[in-house]
Amino acid sequence: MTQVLVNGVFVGLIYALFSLGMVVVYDGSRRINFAHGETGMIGAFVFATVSQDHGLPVPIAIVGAIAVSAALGVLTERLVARPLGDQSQLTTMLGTFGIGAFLLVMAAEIFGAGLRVQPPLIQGTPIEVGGLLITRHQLLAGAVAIALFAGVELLYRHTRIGIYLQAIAMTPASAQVIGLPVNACSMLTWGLSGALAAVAAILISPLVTMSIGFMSALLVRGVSALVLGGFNRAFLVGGAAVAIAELEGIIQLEFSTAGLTEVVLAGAIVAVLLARPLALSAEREATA
Amino acid sequence: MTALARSAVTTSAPRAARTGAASAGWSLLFAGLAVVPLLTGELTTYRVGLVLIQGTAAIGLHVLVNWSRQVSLGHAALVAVPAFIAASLSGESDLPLAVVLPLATAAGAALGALVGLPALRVRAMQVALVTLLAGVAVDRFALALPWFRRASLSQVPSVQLGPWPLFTNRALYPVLLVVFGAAVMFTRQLDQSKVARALKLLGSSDQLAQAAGVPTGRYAMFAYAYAGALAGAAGAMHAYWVTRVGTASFGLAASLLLLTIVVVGGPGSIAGPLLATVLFVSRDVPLWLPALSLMAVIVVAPEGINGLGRALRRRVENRRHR
Repeated sequence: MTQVLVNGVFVGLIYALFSLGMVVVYDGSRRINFAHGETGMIGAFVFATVSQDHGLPVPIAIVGAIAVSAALGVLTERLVARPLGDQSQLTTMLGTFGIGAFLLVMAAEIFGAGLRVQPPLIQGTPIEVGGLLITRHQLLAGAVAIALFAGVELLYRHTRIGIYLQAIAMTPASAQVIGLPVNACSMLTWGLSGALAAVAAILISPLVTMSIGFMSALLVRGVSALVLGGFNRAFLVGGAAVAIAELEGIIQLEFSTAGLTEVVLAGAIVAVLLARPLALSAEREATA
Repeated sequence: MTALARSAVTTSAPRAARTGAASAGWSLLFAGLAVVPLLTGELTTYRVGLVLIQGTAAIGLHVLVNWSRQVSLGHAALVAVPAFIAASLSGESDLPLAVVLPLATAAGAALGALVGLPALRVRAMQVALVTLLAGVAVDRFALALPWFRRASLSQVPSVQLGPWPLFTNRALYPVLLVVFGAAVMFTRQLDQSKVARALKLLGSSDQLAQAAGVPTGRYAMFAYAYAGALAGAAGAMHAYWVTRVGTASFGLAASLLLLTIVVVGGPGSIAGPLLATVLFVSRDVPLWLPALSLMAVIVVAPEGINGLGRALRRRVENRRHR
């Protein structure tokens, strides 16, 4: 049981990293990117293909994969999010839903619909701490997730670009008027989001069976964390993501029924939305 | 406040004449559909039947998406559960169509209302997220339950109409046409009612509808239930028509196809989504086509086929006035 909880923390940190990408986009443009999972999936498959099938060194493959996903994020911004800038959130959401589906079909063409098993990024015997086993891959994943959370926090709080991003998130129109590079910043957030999706996908892929649909489970958990954590509060969303991973671990241990996690999540979210609708919606929703 | 309002303003032909012409058009369409099984073979009839089934579900989703601007991202789940229920009730429990069809429709409506329940308290965006989760939950959990699994293993028995069993597609076709016709007529009636005006107001602006005294939450929930009911009817017809229910027919691709159909159809008349249904269902289309169409139509031509129709009509009318 304790082992399940420990594993849950590391899986949860990866979920949190994935959700962080959605938070970054939501904060910048009040949009939810439904192609987030597929954006990461493409990155993970690029990494798996070039590192395993073509034997490229792992660091180069990782950088390349992240670059591909970041580019996909920027493309989503240019093709859908920006042209629909003055449309409702729902319209953009449908557009990104279309992008996600399109990426899925393309991935089926390029990478095939088969399953694949990905080795952990660091091999080696698990480390034993007080009777609990922690694999090296888990440690790496946890460290990367925490480092990236800290990095994004630093970017937003302590750099000029971060201040721009905050200003744009608050009032895009005024930010444009005083001459902030709104479009460039928007592309930056979508690119950053795509990169985060790729990192999360690469980290989770050794822990699951990889198929082109493998990130849809992460999208469901990411969206749930987003709703439960309040959309643009990165740390609350991250906390919710860890909680979801723990819940999932316990449900799998106790019941082992497929899809029960999704049912519990859906039920929990309906209950939470009905009980405390305003507490959860981001404060500036009303203006969007 | 965009397409719908504008079309109402630019209407120049007398309303009564226009409704008359539309009714004549629909009658003609149904007359044409009625003779399909007489003139074509089993295979074509089967295809047309699939179009009618998808069309029924699409009309419901059209009311939800294009009238009230709510979104159901997992709509195939609302077709799937009633389809499995219909397969089980008609197979294992041996119930007749006259019982199964209303039950499946009611099940769809109930499921739709359940998914739309958060609409009472929160905005469309959050409800849409719930529909995504509900869709996955149904796909992964509900359809894997033993009761549903058994339903997918056996063949759905053919419909018995009084003493006559409807063995072939051509024999079952009239039943399908009646269900589709009922969906069209009922929705066209609804379009003339206070409910439709309230839903469209809600679709144009949440705040406006609230200011006008529309209980927006309940109306949004009604739209979900209505879409669910038609999805349920479509699900039951799917079970009888395809004679087998499997999870493969109701996954993400099916939800995407339904959404694409109503987005490509565009706000306005139900003719748009039905034309889109013909476009995407009457033959096998590669999977990338709906995904790409959804994206392209939203960005380039958000008013869809209905918008094209309106532009064409404006042109014709302007020329006539000159």
